[in-house]
Amino acid sequence: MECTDSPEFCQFREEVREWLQANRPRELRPHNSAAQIVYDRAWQKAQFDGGWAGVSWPAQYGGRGLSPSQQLIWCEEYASAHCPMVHDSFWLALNHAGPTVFVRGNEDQKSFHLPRILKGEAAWCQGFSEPNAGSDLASLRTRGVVDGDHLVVNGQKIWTTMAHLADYQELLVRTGPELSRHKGLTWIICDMHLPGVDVRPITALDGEPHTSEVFYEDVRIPLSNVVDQIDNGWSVAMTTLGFERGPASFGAFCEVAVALEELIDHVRGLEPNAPAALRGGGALAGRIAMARAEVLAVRALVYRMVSSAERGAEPGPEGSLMRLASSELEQTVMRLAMDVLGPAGLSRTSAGSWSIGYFEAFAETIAGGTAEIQRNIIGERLLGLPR
Amino acid sequence: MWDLMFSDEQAMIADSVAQFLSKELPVERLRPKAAPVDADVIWRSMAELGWFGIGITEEAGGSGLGLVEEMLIQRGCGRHLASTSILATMVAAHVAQAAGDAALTRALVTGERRVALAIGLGSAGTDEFEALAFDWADGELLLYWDDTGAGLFEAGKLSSDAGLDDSLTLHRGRLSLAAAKCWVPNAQAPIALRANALLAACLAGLADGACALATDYAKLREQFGKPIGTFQAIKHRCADMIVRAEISGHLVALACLKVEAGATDASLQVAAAKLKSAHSAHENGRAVIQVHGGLGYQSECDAHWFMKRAHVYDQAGGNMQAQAERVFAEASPLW
Ligand SMILES: Cc1cc2nc3c(=O)[nH]c(=O)nc-3n(C[C@H](O)[C@H](O)[C@H](O)COP(=O)(O)OP(=O)(O)OC[C@H]3O[C@@H](n4cnc5c(N)ncnc54)[C@H](O)[C@@H]3O)c2cc1C
Repeated sequence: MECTDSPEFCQFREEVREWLQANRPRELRPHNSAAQIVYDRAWQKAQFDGGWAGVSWPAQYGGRGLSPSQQLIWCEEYASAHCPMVHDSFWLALNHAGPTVFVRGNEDQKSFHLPRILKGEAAWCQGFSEPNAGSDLASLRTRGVVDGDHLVVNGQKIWTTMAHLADYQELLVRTGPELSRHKGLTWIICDMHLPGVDVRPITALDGEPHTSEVFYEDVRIPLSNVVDQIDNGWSVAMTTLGFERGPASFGAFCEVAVALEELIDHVRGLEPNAPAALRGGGALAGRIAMARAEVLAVRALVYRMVSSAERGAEPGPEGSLMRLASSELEQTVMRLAMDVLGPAGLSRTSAGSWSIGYFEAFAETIAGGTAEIQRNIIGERLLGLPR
Repeated sequence: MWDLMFSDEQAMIADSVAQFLSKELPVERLRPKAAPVDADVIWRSMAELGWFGIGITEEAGGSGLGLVEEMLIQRGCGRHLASTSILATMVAAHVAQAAGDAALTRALVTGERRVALAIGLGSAGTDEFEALAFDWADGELLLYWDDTGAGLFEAGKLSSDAGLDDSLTLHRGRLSLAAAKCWVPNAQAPIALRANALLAACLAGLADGACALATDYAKLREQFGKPIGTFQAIKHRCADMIVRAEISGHLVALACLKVEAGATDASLQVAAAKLKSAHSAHENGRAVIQVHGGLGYQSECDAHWFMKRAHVYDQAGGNMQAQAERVFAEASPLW
């Protein structure tokens, strides 16, 4: 065990900080979808050109080839520098599609897709959930039928984040018999521009089209896009979810840590006229302290996970600890912010990014497997409780 | 560079602590009809294992390891509801060493002298104040610390009292800062920080022990023809318990590393660790009773000890309210 600021890491942090300060976009992310993807691509390309895309990705595929610790330093500085929020249209590609292709894909898939992600040329989305297969993912019904050297897909996905902006999709389809559950699934890379793919955005509670319904009608996908093997998609999907629930949460967690410090700065700015609840010993001050301790505790968990990744471990079910703790913490912090804002929180203009963060936090305990599903996983796989 | 994984040596220490405590101080020993354990024999074994001096320099008779290794021992002590005198004696050795009392340091490291934990009541910190002492025996010194420093006290005459946590004996008397046998101001050595980090370790150990007990019972006890652990109300409670225990444990480890490194945010990390771990210990202490149903309310069930001990560790060294005020007041803990 150790915790020291090695000169090498301090210098690295300094370099990251300087680069982000000089290069982060100054204008806010635009509101309409067509402009958003242009903005996200340009920012991703800028990171790639600066040599900062994929800090821990192998150099062979365009990454920087550094360690998991340095990747985390990047996330921390990224959050502090007020860069565009990590949940943009490249988040999924960078945090779980790319890593899945890297771990489970073949050489052709890796050398084609990984550099495209890093260069800002290809955004990805995730087609797992269906109208009747959410928590019970293994019951999904979208069909994939082999026809020559293609898989022909028919069916429907739902809640597909960024589907309307994405170029590729992690698509999970049923290739085995109807009731084959985990055994008959295939994880295939779907080009979202193929004929027969129909994306219909859904408006979320904050008024934004975060997710979509995606319909597939005789979509012909080359079999060379299958990651791993036909009918072995469940295991690939578990790799994807391992990344999604574990390391993919680090960036958003760092944003929450920064947000809480900003809230505390805001509270300090109110002195000496702060309401009693916000002064030392007051009810809200107590909740702020608890949230801060909670942030530090989750941060210690992050360090622990990174320490384990440094030793070459791949993310496993412990990712559910991270997912559960960090998603509930995000809700705690955002709710606390609303209480600190008081009536000003009622105006989206006065509340500014707090109202955005407050709304988005509700998705955190649903997407990527609900908090209840994470608790099932922790109970059954980490504690060994019976199903 | 952070590394929150145990070194091989640390993993060995953690294993040997767990083995020793499982054999010598199983929680079942506290059941009303259990055969009494010989506390003096166990105390000597701990001394022989080098527990009291594990973080004391070799010149002074210790093993020359650090706060992380002390933390590993205290986590075990919390998990097994061991005597608070183990923590008090371990910390007292640092007080004696900082005060330049080599003979006393050695007597503490060898386990020859035992020190009891003291917590101030009401007007603590004023020149003379009323204090509670835990597991004290005639002739033993008391360890007391607060924001200004840490010291050892001759106890004089203490009266017996009935403790909330009846796994420890309780005594009360008066302490006078002016009459300390030795007093080490915080500016000289951050012993209070060390002591609070170790209390946080005990609390994380409690959270862990409560989780393990609840989980074991949830696998065994059957109702409606199946183990109660199949019911999500129980399963999810256990999942929440392990999340609390895990993240508290990691935070305590990080806080210890920060203290060792003399980091500027060490005092924030320790306060946060004590706050978070106290919260985890209280919550898990409540949950383990609930998971046991009617049995959880009975004295022969091991569940209630975790709830009771959580109060002792929480109140020592500044309770949750005091830690929260510190966490709130400190500067930004970001990278
Ligand atoms: C903002 C957002 C973005 C998303 N993005 C994507 C995406 O990009 N790609 C994708 O594939 N999916 C995505 N999802 C879908 C998400 O993965 C599902 O919503 C989630 O898995 C839950 O499935 P469901 O909506 O069908 O709810 P249901 O499974 O119907 O759950 C309803 C309620 O029942 C509970 N429940 C269900 N089963 C159990 C059980 N066994 N034990 C205890 N409680 C249970 C759930 O916890 C929940 O509270 C997104 C969702 C949101 C909100």
